[in-house]
Amino acid sequence: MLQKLKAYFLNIFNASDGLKSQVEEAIEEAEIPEEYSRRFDRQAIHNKAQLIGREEELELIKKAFESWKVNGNPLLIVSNPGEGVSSLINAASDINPNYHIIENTSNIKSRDQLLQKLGDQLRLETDFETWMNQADENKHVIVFENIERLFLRKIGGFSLMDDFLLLIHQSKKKVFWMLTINQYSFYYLDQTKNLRSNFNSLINLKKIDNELIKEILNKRNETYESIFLKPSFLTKRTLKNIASKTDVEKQNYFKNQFVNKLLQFSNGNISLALLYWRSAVARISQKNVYLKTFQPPSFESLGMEELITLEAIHVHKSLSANELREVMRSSSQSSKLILERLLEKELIKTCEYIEDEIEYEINLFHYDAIIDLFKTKLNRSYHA
Amino acid sequence: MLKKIFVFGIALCASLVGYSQTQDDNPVKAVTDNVESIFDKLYEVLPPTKIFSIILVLIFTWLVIRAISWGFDILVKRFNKHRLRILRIRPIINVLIWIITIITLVVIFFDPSTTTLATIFGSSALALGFAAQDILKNIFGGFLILFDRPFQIGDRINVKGNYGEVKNIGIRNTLINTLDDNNITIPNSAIVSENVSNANAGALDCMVVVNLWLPINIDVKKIRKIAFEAATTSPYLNIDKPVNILFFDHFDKEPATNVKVKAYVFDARFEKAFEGDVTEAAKMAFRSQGIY
Repeated sequence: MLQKLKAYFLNIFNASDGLKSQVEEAIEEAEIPEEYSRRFDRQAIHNKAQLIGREEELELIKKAFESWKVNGNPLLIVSNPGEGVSSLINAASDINPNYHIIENTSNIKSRDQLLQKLGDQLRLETDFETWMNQADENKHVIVFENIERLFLRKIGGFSLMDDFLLLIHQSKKKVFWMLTINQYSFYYLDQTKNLRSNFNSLINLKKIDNELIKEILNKRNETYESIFLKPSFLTKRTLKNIASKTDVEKQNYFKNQFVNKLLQFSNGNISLALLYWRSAVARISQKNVYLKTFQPPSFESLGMEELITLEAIHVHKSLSANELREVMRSSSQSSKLILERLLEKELIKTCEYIEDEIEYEINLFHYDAIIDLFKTKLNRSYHA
Repeated sequence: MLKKIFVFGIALCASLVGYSQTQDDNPVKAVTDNVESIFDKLYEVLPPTKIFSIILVLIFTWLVIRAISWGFDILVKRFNKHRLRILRIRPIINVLIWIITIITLVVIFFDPSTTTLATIFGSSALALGFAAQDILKNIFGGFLILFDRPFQIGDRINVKGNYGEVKNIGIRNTLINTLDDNNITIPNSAIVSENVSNANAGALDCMVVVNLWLPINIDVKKIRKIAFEAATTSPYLNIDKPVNILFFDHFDKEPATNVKVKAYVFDARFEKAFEGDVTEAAKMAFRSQGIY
């Protein structure tokens, strides 16, 4: 009796593991035409006219720029992955003709490497510091993306970040510095190094309104008819309730289920909404898209070692195996081993945009679930 | 304790013998009759069906408590952040279930009158006063711990030099799991009468003081930076709480500087892991910078 009860409850608690395989199936089995798949790509937009739902933030950037002309304050933009910060800074390019974006796709390790990067991306003929000394006042806007790339969570790993902040303060009369940072990295750096105190202007990207998310998705799905399949996680009672309904009523019920799950999963993040939709596509036949609602997996049983490794990776946005070894103060083998385990569970993935060294980042698909675990299991009072 | 039981036994025998002598001239027959009569009355009051039912109820109660404990274990895993809150309800529920069961059994099977109850309590008090004084002390100690709450399950306490996590607060004893993974059972009466230090007092996190020993002529600024970064880069740090670095000079035998890193670990269970991590990282940095 006790065993049966135990087995019953264990089934409930482990149900999420079973659902994980369903998600994987949905991702693997669906054969989606490239034309349709491209509609759900998460590329940053380059045109201000295409920017949706970030009008308020765009206005705040303009205000910060105007205020910089008076007080020289740099601006820090804090956002979660996939919230569209790249699109926002692309769209803000019309605030000044000398608008330079420094993209940062891998960790910068030294001051020389930083200055080299600045010089290269600004296409300078002299070194950055000479250029800075000669530059006219109130002329340039430099957007430096992902400043979390400037530190490594180890003893002595914050010097470059300190140098960079000093450089910003020294040059703030001549350059309007617009920096972006991952929200979780900002939380860590603010708690340990009081990062916030360096920035009088700070913008937190807001969650996109649910209605707007629905509008964006419908627009991307234009010319296709959506057909909602019966979710596999419905209880017997629910199935009994909907059995008597007409086909139209059933479709409406499944559609509501799908939209609710999608909005719950995306949590105001448009990239997550696109990912959910794309993963929910079971098949496409002619102009009909068959969508199947699924429960995203939960990782409650994840071990502490895996969890602190995920946090270490996410605080830096991405890490190579070697950097992880330094950050975790562990051996090379154990770092590689844990990375393999996390890759197997699809909690991390290799960064597609880094060429010279393999780096690993959190799988955006599980982003919210992982952050929840940081809050509950690592006792972090982090608020997105 | 044995002495008290012995004295109580002698007194009981003497009273029985005295009683029988006054009743009959044949003492052996009188004692046999008395014993038979006692067994008859016992059979009347407690027939085998009643005994069987009582055993069944007690087994069922035990099973219910096991099931509840199992449910608590699942809840603890599921809601790790509220682990301590959940765990501290468990002993209270266990005690309440046992009390309710025993009272129900007494009322249903024996239906005692007020006089009987008074007699039972009177004689029990006398017997227990002699025989089970220490047990009673522990039980009352257990109630005091449960309701006065000097510590709760999951807290890190130090009683009589035994430091560890409180695993269970029972009716008689409290179970502590030390940092060496030894389970120590401490009688509740001893805990009530001793000084108890509590490191986390119901919170999930707790402060850890890491002691680093260095030569007296150190560069304090450099050491502060290393010690601070050793703590803030540890994965076990509670980053929502402050990190403090303190310096104390000692001139006992060899002059030395004691660097105290005071920080909070996100979960008291990782107290030693944090201490080890910070010490190791700081030592490596001191060595690489030629401080050692």
